[in-house]
Amino acid sequence: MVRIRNLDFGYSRRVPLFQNLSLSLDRGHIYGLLGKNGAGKTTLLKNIVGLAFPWAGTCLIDEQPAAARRPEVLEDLFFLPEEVYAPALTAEQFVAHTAGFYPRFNAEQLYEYLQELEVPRGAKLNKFSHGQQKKFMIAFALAANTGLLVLDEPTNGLDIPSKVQFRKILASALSEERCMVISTHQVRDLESLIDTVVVVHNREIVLNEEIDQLAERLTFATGQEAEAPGAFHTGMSVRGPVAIRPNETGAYSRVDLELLFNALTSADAAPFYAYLNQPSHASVQ
Amino acid sequence: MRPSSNQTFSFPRFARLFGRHTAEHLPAYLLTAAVGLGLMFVVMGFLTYLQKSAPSVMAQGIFFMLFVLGGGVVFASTVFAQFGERRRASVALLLPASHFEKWLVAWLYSLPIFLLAFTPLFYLADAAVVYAGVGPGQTPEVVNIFAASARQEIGGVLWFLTLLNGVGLWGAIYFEKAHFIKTAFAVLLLMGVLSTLNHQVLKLIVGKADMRVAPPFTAVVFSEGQQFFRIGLPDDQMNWLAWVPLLLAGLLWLASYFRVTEKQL
Repeated sequence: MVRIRNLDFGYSRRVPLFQNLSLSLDRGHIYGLLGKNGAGKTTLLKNIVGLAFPWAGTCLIDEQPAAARRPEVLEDLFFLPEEVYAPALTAEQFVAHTAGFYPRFNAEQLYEYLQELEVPRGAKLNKFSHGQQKKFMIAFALAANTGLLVLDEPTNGLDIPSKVQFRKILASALSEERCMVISTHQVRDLESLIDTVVVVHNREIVLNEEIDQLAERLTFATGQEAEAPGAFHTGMSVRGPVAIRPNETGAYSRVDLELLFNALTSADAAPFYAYLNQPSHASVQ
Repeated sequence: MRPSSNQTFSFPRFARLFGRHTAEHLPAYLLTAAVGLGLMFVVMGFLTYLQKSAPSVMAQGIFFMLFVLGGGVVFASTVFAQFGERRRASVALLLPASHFEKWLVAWLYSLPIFLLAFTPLFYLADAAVVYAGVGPGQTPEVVNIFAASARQEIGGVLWFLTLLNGVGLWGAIYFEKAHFIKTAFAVLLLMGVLSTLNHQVLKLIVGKADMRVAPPFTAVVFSEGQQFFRIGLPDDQMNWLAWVPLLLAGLLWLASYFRVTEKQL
């Protein structure tokens, strides 16, 4: 659905943010876009949705250049920025004036989501708290049923019960027709939700891999097992030592996204990159 | 992706966008209209109070000109405000409508709708001041801007308003905040630079040191001894210059439209 080829982009000609970046995102997946502060997660999302234009290379949505912002592309795209804007309209007025732009918008779904997220009705949206505004916009974004849904730090500003509801709703909203991209630095919020991890680091995509494939290829060890030599990365958690090592037994281990992210963005990540970039059949020997 | 309608202009989509813009901005527009009405009333009322009689028809005509031009450019410079603020801009830019439709909604509000709203408001303030402030022995008379005798003056005002609208729209989309201040500063700076350059170039061509300041599109006036000379276009050619504001407005509208298509966050 989204095809980025050899993208060069930056806010200053002297300091490019991305160079020769390529990425493909397909329908039927929930992508988690991870990166350090300033790595360019939001900038990458803006390039994807057409709010920033590539210096070189292409960024296509269903074969159409995102930067052209053609109505037929925008009808199938919803971007929720980190800081949402809520106009001085009630939920009903907002729906009456905005839903018509999205051909697959489902009002029943919206009110169901609003109920689940405990968003009050009747009041003007600009009078809501920041968290409530965000929850309303998340519900609207999901009910728009667009093929491409891009959420930038959606869990920022949500309370703990809302984060749980958000994960539940998002999981239920995924279909084979939809591609969801979620940028976050709160890895734990999305751990059980995303099926593909994309990591941006040092101006490039250092990982774009399905969670299941990562679980097949890597072992996320804890305790004594983590202290054995041969790990790509080791660290400490509240559970004691943790480590990432090749999955030599084929046993399933739950992917620890935070540890994975730390491993990919550490200074000595080169052997880990090399291992991940091998074809998967070569890694299981 | 579903097969969609025309990607540049579709009337149902435009109507939807126009309705959304109206619903979102109507309270602010009504407030602006109320403030504008109050200001006109206060300014004209103050003059009436000072001179102890209602303003003459000519004074009312001058007030109309000043208010419509001033109000028009200030209002035009705010209609793209939603593209300047980041939070609102991502919604405005990604709303499923074409760039042309988004530009057209702003243009409609900034010029035709502004004029339609301004004229009755001016008459309301003007009539209130004229009838309330009529002096002893004075017959109240409200200016008729639609009179055949006023056609040329009003035409000139509308021509100039069109140019100012182009300037305001361009500034509204080019600058991200303080649109009016920045636009006014840019225009004054540009006029200063152009006038200076024009004057210097003409001075070189004509070779007269005591030439009067000559802004673009004006005649050259200089003196030799006690005599003044004026070099200008013949009247029939000079009439073509009346189209310059409209031409410039067209260029500025085009520039503001392309700026919308190029807007990035």
